[in-house]
Amino acid sequence: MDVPISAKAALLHALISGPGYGLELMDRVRDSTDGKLTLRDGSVYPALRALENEGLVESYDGEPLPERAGRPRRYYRITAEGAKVAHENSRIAAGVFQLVWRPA
Amino acid sequence: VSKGINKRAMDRQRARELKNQHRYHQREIKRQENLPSLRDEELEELLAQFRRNPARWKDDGEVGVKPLKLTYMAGIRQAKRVPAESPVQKAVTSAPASPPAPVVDVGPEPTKLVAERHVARAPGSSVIRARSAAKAASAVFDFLSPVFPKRIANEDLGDAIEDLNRMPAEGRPAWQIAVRAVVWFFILVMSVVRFFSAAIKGSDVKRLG
Repeated sequence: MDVPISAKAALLHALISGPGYGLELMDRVRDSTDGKLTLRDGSVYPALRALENEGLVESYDGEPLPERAGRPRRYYRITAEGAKVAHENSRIAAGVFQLVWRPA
Repeated sequence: VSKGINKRAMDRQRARELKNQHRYHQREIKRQENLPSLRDEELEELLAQFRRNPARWKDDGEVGVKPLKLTYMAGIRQAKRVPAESPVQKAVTSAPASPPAPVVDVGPEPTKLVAERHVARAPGSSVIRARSAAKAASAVFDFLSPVFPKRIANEDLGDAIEDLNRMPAEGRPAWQIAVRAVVWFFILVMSVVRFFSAAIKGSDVKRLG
């Protein structure tokens, strides 16, 4: 079953716990949802760049690593604006689910 | 005339030798493919023996292109011909004046049957193939990296290489790594297309580049 959460929302929430790079963020989302939500590789990088363009996250290069053939990792961290949006998203989602599950 | 006859005779002799050598190799390969069976507990015991004395055993995964079975066989033959020197013996050789150290029991010498069975079910074979596949895919991506914009070469392509290199450690087979490499290639192509389409549209390329 597909979980109806956008990659951008999932990544934004994954970044709340700290900075991370593409692969790590995919793992973080998968682990935090017990494997129920797996982001596709093809959707992660465009989503991260879109979040960066919107000013919700910012990115910086890490140290070059041998396991990446001497390339640095590109880390992302959430901005104050991003944290505000993530909080707002959580509040809206909680409200929606409360509406759905409220006993009649 | 006699020199010519001698040369022809030598050529024939050489041809015979080469033919025999080829037949020997063919027989050897066939023999190794039909190795006898061993129970799992015997195999485990053998593995434990070799772990205690790894100098005899070449299972470090760095075999390269040589067929794995032949490499393991070579390792066994080497071990039987030249018994591995124990650390105790080494210490005695380097410092003859020191008192004799206690003998370390490294277990019994494995029988040929046991050793060959270990070769037939060499646990490292799939790992080595997976590592080779990951290495090859990483090399291809590394070679292609100058074609990509710097940001994509560092981020997407770097993640692709890192992902491929950690797959053998997760126990993934070579075919999965190959499929993953193809998937990553398409992701990279899509990233490049997006990058250039953003450039044409006039969005903030500096930020992404």
